[in-house]
Amino acid sequence: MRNFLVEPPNIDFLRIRKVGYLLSLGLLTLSLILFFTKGFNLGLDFTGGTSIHIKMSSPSSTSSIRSALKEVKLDDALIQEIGTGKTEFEIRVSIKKGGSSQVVQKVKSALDRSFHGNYEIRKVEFIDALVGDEMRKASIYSLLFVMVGILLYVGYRYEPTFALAAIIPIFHDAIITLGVFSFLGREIDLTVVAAILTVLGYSLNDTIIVFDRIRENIKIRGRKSLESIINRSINENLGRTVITSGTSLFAVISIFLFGGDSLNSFALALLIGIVFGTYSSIYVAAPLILEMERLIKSRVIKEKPINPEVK
Amino acid sequence: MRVDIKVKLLVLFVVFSVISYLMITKSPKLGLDIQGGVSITLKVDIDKVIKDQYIGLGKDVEKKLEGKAEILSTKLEEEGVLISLLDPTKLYVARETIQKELPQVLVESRESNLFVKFTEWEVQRIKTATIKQAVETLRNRIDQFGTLSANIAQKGKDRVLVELPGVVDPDRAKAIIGKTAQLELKEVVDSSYSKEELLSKYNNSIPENLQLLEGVEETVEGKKVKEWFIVRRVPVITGAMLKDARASMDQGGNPAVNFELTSEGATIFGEATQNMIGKRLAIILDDKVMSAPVIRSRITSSGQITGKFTTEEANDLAVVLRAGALPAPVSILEEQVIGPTLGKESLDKTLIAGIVSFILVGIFMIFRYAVAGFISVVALVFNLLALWATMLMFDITLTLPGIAGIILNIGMGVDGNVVIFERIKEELKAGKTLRVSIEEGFKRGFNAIFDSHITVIIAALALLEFGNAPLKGFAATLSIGTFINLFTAIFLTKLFLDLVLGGRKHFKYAV
Repeated sequence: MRNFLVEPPNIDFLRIRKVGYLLSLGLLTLSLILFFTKGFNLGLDFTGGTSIHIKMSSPSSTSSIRSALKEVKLDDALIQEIGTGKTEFEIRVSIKKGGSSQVVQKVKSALDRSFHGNYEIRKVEFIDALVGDEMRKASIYSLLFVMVGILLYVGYRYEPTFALAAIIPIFHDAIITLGVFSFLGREIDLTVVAAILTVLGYSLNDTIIVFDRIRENIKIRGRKSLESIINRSINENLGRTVITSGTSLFAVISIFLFGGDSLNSFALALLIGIVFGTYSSIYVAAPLILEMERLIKSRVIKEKPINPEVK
Repeated sequence: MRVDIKVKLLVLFVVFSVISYLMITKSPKLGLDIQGGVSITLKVDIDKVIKDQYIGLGKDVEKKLEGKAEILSTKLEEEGVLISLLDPTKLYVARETIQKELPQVLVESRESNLFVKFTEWEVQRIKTATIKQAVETLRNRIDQFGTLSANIAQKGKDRVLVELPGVVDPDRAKAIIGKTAQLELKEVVDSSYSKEELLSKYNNSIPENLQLLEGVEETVEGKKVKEWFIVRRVPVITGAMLKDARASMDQGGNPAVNFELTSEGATIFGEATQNMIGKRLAIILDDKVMSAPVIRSRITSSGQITGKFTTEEANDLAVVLRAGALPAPVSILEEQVIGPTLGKESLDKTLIAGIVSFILVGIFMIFRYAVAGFISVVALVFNLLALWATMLMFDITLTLPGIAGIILNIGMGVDGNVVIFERIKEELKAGKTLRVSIEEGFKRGFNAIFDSHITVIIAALALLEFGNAPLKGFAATLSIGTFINLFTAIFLTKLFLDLVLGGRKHFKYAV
């Protein structure tokens, strides 16, 4: 264990790349199907509305809270438990029911009647529908901004083929992370978008370290046996890739397990993102360089007969 | 010891002293998600200000054209004023006059009419001035309200963020910051308890110079009634002429607000009330008639606002009037009220997560890289201290996601070290000596580390631009931490390794 992967293994990653492609395509398709059929459970940040976080002094249930809210005609509110203690709940009321002051007052009066003040309002959040729309747009823009930024930077530091090969897996990671959130029905709020942005940067970090090695090996050995160079580079870096993903996962899992509810979704998105980011930098990004090079070569060969005289 | 190592150690010592100094003298600024409090984002209705300005512009144009070209009508449009002249042949003269007298507007000919609008620059100036004034007014109000360490800042083009830390009654906070507090005293022309009756007197079309306003709901003999007023549009006095406002009692012993006018206001008010004896004067707050007493005698410097106030409401109204009116109505776009217990609980949990992740990463690094691993842990501690000190230095607010960013730095921060250490292992395997291997490892690892750090920073910058307050905290810790890490991973770890290696040829570098 202490010395695992010190000796680079000799795994033929490129030979099994078809398996990787199939797996990735499968997950991507599944994610996209989920996007359109199940959709997303969007958080308050995007939908707007009022969210009230209460803590009861004795265990209760969502149904008893719902029946309490019936009196103020708010029983169609979304009520969910926070944590596992059966004492903390979130009541979310749609923006159509009015501003936060009215909603909070109604909820208070209903809870006072049913629970006689044995509760505490810990947090109230109100977001106007206008802001929700803006946040949605801002999230999409910022994801695009990061992608373009990365594309330009990698294109500048490496070669255009490398840049494209780096950006495709990143899309892949973001889509799959969102797909898992859709599948689990977990709420997507701004912190999740932040986590996905971070994953974009992080996943690329992994990819770049492999690319850097490929670039170095190309310098030493030339472009001819690209396949074996890529294989060799992935294998040489495997120890590092596994270790740094591991240490990052230590941090993320700590936040996921101990960090409390407010950071839970954030940590989950990072967790999924880092796992798939590591996978994609090995199984998707590096093989894509090979595919791109082949694509370019075949173009060049096809174009040759058109101008046979030109030398 | 080599000279360059001595210099490096000296630099390290200085940096460390600065860090210690900052940590001793300053304490971190905590976000509302940790210390609890109320955060409200207001939207300032800037469009209304522009519209009001166009009403004023229409009057200005009328005045400037007096004696030069007679105006048939002025019509307020979405983005300007349409002016029709009685004599279309004077179009050119009128246009020249307006352009000369009012440099802040553009004049266009539209068929036989003139269309007058503000220049782009003027619109921008009005907007900027409005939002600035809104921030100022809110700051005044909150200062008077007595909340310490409140944060009031412009956000985007037309928004103001108000953050009140600590235990704050959200409803009261909203009453204080959400009120436009536009006080106006206007002459009552007519009034009735039936809106329909009042309107029918004017055949449902009220002349330009008058306006219909509603009064405060009252209960008379068990029935809820509301008086409606027709008042002159141009006010006698506005809140701009207030010198002071204090909570007090009315004759019946109910809470009320007494106000005092400036000397300029007093002169105008005295003259106006002199001519209004026997008539009613409406005291209007934010387009609602609070009361409409009959003027019995000339009044100069003071007056009283009565209504159905509680003592607290009267106090708050006095505060708001003293601080002045907002330049435009505001509406609440976002609001967050966080109780103090939740923040404390979340902070404790997040700290535990941080400690656990530090221990796990530390144990692993020492386990895998022995002495070098220990060095990387020391560098990691230094990294975290430097991050903390940077946050203190620039007064960056620490939020829960911000702490998550610090924890991620623990996990991602050793990445640079791992890249280099693995590289050193490879070089060692190739049969090089430890010293050569270390030099090669650092040299060859640099590119990869640099590029990979930059990409994380690109992602963090996007967040800094679009995130809300807590997420900005995350973007800050992540990007600063990554930046510092670039130095600790490359320079600090190298320095420590050189020190440990000293004159020796070899030490237990991994196994």
